[in-house]
Parts: sequence; structure tokens; C-alpha cells
Amino acid sequence: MPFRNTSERWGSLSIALHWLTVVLLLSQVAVGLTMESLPNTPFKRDVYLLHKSFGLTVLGLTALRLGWRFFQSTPALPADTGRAQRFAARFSHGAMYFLLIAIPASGWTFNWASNFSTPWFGLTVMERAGSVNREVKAAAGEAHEWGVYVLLALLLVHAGAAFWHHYRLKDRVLWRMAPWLRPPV
Amino acid sequence: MILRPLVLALGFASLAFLPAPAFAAAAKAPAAAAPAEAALPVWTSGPGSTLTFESSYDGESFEGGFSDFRAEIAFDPARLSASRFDVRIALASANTENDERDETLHGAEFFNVAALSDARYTATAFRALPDGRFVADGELALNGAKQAVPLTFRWVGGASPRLEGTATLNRLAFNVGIGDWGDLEMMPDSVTVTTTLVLKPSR
Repeated sequence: MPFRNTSERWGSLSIALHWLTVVLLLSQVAVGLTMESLPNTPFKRDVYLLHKSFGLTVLGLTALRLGWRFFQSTPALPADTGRAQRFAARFSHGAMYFLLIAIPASGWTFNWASNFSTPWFGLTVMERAGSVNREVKAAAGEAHEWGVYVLLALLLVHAGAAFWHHYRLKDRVLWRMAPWLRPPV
Repeated sequence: MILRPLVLALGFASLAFLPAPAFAAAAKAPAAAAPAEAALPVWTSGPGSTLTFESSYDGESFEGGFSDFRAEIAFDPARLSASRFDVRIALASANTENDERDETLHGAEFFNVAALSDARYTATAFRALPDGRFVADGELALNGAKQAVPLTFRWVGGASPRLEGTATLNRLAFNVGIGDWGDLEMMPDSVTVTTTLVLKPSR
């Protein structure tokens, strides 16, 4: 498997970053939806620190993916893909990249407006603001939560489309991102 | 005559109708004249007064303050034995500029505001330090515990006196930060409390 993308398939770096993002995203959503109801103990604080650290990691990885994507070709869609479908693919991928930046960024803003310093696995990335900003905090919290719901909806469409390509259209769209699958004929 | 004992008895009985304070005043009259027994004027903490505390968690320091407290101070550097402090602190007013931390701080494992809303600091014993400052050997009642907490302070007298004081206390002696929060590696036992009282005459 080539390291870089080709017009035929995704390179190993793109594939690794894609699936790493899937694992991180699903864990972050699971933890994020439950951690609020934990009792106020040091354990809760540790869970939040990890959620923040992994969230920043997703932000960094997404920036890396966009940069990597920008400097090379991406595999082409099958030649018989219609205009509407091409638009849907472009739009949903763009929206997912946007949310993979916007959700961690809104979480970071929420954290900043709550007057916490910004942690990344024991490092302090940014010092605390010094005071609470309740309006910003409320807006960022809403954006963080709704961003996740929209991303989950897009994720369902994204995965559904991938399976559609693989099992109904029997093209190589999913296979080139998941090369351990048996390629369709 | 039979009338003499009767008049005497009536005379003594009439004494019982004198108001009690008149008796007390009569008995204490010579002592009350001595200045050492007169009560000191009482001052109350006014606008500009602060009561703050400092601690740290996981290496990151934080400061908090109580916005609602009332100090009643009777103090005269020349009459330490007549001096008195009485301070009431509304624990729910603790604010560290972080809503999540404040919620924890008000909760059962820290100030337990739901069980007991106020802390109280009282002092009746005072001593002067060689550097001109004073120490109140007072007691803090907090979270159901009562412990000696000496408060070292500077007194700036005048028409509107100021008190600038600092005390160090051990939070665990007052059950503040119990359970998993009791890990002293993460959060030290010792807490520094600082106060500035801008005093005005009481009432």
C-alpha cells in the first residue's frame, strides 16, 4: 500500500488517520455524554482532563488530515457517479471536516470560558483566562453538544453511503479506505 | 410597742420592690468607674472588606473569596483583654471564579453548605507581637469542627480602622476536602486565609 494517496486509492497515512479519528470520535462521544453525571470527585476531573486531551488530539489530527489532503490528490469517485451524488459526497465530507474542527474548538472555548487552563496529557497548552465568561460558556456548550448530534447524523449517512457502495453498487469506494475487506469484483 | 417591728418589717419588705439593676449598680458602683471594665466600641466590616483563601490542586494554584461575611470587631491595642472578634461567614458565598470548582466546594465533601450554612470565627484572647502586629488566639467553627486558628494581623487605627490579617489552617481538621479529595499530594492540607477589614461603627 502506498504511503501517499493515488487517484485509485487512499495512502496508508490517510487510512490510518481516518480510522484513528473514528475510534477517537466514538470514544469521545461516549465519554462526553456520560461524564457530566459523574459525582464531583477527582476521578471526574481525570475523566474531563482525558476528554479535553483527546479532543485536542482530534483537532490536531483533523488539521493534519486537511493539510495532507490539500497537498496531494484524493482518489476519484467512480466515473458513473452522478452530479447530485458528487455534490452530496463533497458537502458531507466538507461538513464532517468542519465539525471535526468546530466541535473540539467549541469544547476548548467552553473550557476557556469556564476559567480552566487547557490541558494536553499533563501539559498546559494554555493558561486559564482568569475569570468566567458565562455568555461565551453557554454558547460554546450549546455549539459543542449540537455539533456532536449533527456529526453523528452525518456519520450515519457517511457509513450508510459506504456500505451502499460496497454491498449494492459493488464498487471500490469503501474498500480503498478499508483494504482489509474483500474487494468487490 | 407592737408597731416598731411592723414598721421595720415593712421597711425591709419595700426594699424588695426596688428594681434589680438599682441593686447591681449600687453594688458595682465603685468598680464601674475603673476604665478597664468599660466595653470597647464595636466595629463592623464595611464595603471594601475582603476574606480570601488560597490553595492549589494538582500543582495549579487558585484563590477564592467569600462575598458574604460579617465581622464584629471590638479592638483596642491598649486594652487587649477587653477586645473581642466575632466573624460569621456564609459558606455558599465561596467563589473561586470557576463554577465547576465552586459547585464542588459547596458540596458535601468540602463546605457541605446544605448541612451548615455558616462558619464562625471568635476570639477573646489577644497578644502583641514585637513587630507591632497582633495575634488573635481565636477559634474557627466550620463543618461541625472547632479548632484553634491564630490570626496574625496589623491594626491601622483611626476614625475608620482597618485590620489586615492572615491565618493558616489545616483543611482536613475541618473535614474540608474529604474522601478522594483528601489526597495531600494533589491538594495540600494547609490553606492560607487572608482578610482586610474596612471597619465602620456598628449600627
